[in-house]
Amino acid sequence: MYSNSIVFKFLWVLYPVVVIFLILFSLGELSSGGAGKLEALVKKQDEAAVEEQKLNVLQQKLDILRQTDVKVESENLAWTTKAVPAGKEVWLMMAELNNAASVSGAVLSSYTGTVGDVVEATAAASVNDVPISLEVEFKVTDFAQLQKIISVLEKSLPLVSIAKVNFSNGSVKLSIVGAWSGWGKAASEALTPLPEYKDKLANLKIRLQEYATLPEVMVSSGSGQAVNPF
Amino acid sequence: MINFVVENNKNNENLDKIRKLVVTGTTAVLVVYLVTLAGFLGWGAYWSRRESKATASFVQKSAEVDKLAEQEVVIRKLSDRLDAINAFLDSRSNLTTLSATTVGENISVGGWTFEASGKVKVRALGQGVDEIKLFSDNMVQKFSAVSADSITWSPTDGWVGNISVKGLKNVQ
Repeated sequence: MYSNSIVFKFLWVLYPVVVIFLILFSLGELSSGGAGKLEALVKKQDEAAVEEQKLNVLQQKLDILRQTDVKVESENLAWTTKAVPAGKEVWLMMAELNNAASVSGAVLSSYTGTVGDVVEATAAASVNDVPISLEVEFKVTDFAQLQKIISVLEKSLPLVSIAKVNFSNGSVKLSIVGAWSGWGKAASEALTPLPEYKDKLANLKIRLQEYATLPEVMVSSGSGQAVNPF
Repeated sequence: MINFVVENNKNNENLDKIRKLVVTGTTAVLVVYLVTLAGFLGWGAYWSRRESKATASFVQKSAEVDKLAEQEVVIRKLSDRLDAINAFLDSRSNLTTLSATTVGENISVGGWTFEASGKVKVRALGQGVDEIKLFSDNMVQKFSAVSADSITWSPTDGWVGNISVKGLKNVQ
């Protein structure tokens, strides 16, 4: 009777003991690792932030893609391919040289060149990165005629660069390098941001507005096939 | 006779005070702990929901991006081509400007060479040595490096100045 009374009298001591046990037990469970535990819960915030950031990038990309008119951009692509072909369009370079001779009144007397593969380089094909280089000789009457040849060549598409000039005694030898660039491999990752191109395109259209293309210019198709210039 | 009843009541009062203090303190700790735990679990559940929502949305938008692959390919090809054009234009010398700059009054250009290094050699033909000098002085105004390689006179060509120039000033 007396012992029962004592137990009852100190029963309240169990309350903090049980509470401390519960707190320690739950903290132990939460911090012992594994799914749904304390550490994982803390990481959730970081993981969610990363996911939302990826989503934001994807949304921006999606907005641009939705606004893109494939027809218009394909026309722009065709125009840029006239400036820098996807393959070694050596025949177009020859046509440009003939045009320069014709406009200036000079006589194109010879050309020899290093070309290499003339098949249009695709992402799958190995790209022969040897530049198209032609050594050309014109018969000219004076320096003014040479200047005309240079100005015509430097305002023609496809773009060419005059690497060397040797003018003397009514003859001029030019080393001409033709621009070309194979198709790069397009990035396939969904999260790879799209390149900013609209400003570059607008600026280039202004920069090349005085450039002339040959009437018979045939641009590469992008199909990986050699383009017949004739 | 000693009165133990008074002593016993005093002990009971003290014990009661301790009990109340411990129970109150424990309850306070328990409440704070439960509130903190609930808040923490709620916070975790909130971020977990946000992550799930973002993941689901990402999958859906990835599928939309895949459907617009044609647009993406055209944009990337166009951007690459624009870079190639700009790189080519930036790397080449402007010989139209260079050739126009290396002419002078009262001299005629009998020879003109341009080397890959950017050096231009002009064979300037003039009626007198003063014209060659004037041409050379004019080149000094326009180029950062000017060299009069030779000045000769012959009955057939007259005065001939071989002038080398490099580094056109104020080129766009």
